[in-house]
Amino acid sequence: MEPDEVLPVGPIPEAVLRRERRWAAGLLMAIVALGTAGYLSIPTEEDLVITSRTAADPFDRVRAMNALIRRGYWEDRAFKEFEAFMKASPKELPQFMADMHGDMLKSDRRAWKK
Amino acid sequence: MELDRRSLSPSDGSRPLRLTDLILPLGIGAVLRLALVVAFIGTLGRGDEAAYLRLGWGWSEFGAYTGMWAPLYPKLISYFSGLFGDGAADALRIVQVFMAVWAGVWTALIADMFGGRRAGLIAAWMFALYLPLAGFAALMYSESLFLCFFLPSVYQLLRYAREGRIAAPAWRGPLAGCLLGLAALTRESTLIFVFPCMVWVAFALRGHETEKRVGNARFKAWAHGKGPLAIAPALLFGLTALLTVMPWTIRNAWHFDRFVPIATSSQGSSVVGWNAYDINYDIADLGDNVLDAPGTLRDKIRGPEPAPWSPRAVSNVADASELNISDGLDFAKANPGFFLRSRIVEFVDMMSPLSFILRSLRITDGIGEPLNSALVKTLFAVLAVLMVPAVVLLGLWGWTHARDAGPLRSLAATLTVCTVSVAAISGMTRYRVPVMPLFIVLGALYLAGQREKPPRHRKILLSTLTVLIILSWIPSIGPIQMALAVLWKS
Repeated sequence: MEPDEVLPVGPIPEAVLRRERRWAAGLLMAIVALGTAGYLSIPTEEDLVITSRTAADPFDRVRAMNALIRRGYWEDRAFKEFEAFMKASPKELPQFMADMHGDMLKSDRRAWKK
Repeated sequence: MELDRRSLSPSDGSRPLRLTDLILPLGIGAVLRLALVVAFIGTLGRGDEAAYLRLGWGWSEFGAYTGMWAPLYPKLISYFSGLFGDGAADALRIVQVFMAVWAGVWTALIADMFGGRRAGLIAAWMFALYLPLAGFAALMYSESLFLCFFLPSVYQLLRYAREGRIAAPAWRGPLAGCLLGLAALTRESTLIFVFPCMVWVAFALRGHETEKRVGNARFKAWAHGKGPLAIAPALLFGLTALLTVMPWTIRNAWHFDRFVPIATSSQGSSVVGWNAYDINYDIADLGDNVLDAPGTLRDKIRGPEPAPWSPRAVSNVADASELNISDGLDFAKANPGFFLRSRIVEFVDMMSPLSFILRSLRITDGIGEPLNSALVKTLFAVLAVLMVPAVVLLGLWGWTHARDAGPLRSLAATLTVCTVSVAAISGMTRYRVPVMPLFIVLGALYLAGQREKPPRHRKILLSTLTVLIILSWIPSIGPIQMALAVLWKS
């Protein structure tokens, strides 16, 4: 059914604009809060080394080790240092390394410092 | 002035589409997919499928995600690994059948929004029977999960535009953004949709309030197409998508000590796509070696290959990503002719009538009933190959002729341009999955008779695109013949 008449009424009602502004403000605040909290929670490499050795939760230890690898922490170090670290680590880490980062365990890997 | 058909009454007077109407088409679609799942039960998959399983298993076992892809699909696998152990892949395949039904519902609802019940039903049947999409239920790729988020997001965007800025509920745009964010957390390349969709929202929701009179009844309605750009709705949509992705971006900062919005898979694509290799995963293993896709015409278009470059051995994947993309760009600058010619081949690969289910039928060991005979496999493959040109051309005709479907036409065009632009990096048939349901919707509108005589400029565009797409299929004829021959001999 086509309308008999279409009459322009006017601009966007203030209530709609107010509603959109409220949503935008809420979203922006959430983004800023989440971004700030996230930024402040980023650990240093030293923090990660400690966590990978001492955290109570084995998953936390593995996550810290994974982050060290991904950050390229071991790239600046010799293979011997990495080996020593692994020997002194809780048992989850060698298992994790063997299953998920097997390439790192090879001393002739391209990225290792000689 | 375009009027909102729904705010008046359905144009054809038919009753609206009910979910119960979809039981038959989508039920048959589910049975088809279950048959595929049964055939693939117990198979392990190769390439990315195997990698996804390994990443999911590792996440479940050690609590750490070691991959470079978007996280939601590996996370889902990790949950299934925890619950079902070695049976995780098969359990997930069965769940993917339900995901396909869910995606089919949204495809039908989009068609219903613009063409009524008949179009919705046709879209549901097309979605149910379109084999290249059905195949993903049985494969361990992120596409099934992706469509579960992406299609509802597209529906919400289109509904937003249909309802207008005043009548639409406040959550409509943010919900669309949230769903698109989840889709991006499933497939990283979805990020390229966010900004173009924001621009689309700004244009599609442009309008002003009007009063309409039908007989004695008067009511306020939204008149599209006039007034200032709808910047605020566009921002709400974009900000919500950003907020949805942000927790993972923070995780990446924690992990890489770098800004990585979602993942670093583009670096892998640049190593393959912006390089001298001729790798096409759809026709993997058909050439003499994996780095050499077959096809005489492909070779002729590509011309002589320059020396390839090697990916960097850097542990920080974010750094490796930057370096590899930069090396890929240097390669493109040093070999502009080859780069442009190889982009044509990437486009050809993306548009190819092949599909990933055919690749998996060819290279997966241990496929069982009902797909274990050469005859069934070949028939399935021939049907799947024919369905791609049928849906693409029908969708193109639907796009050109669709009546009263302005927002759908413009959003489908926006998403298609973004999808095809991925071929500038690397092209394969899996990358066109986001827009295929929209082609199905547009084709359904055409078949449902929801069409008008298109203006001249749209006719010219239709002719040009039809010729271009048909030409793009010619180099794929050789590889298709080879793939079918392999299946016939299997």
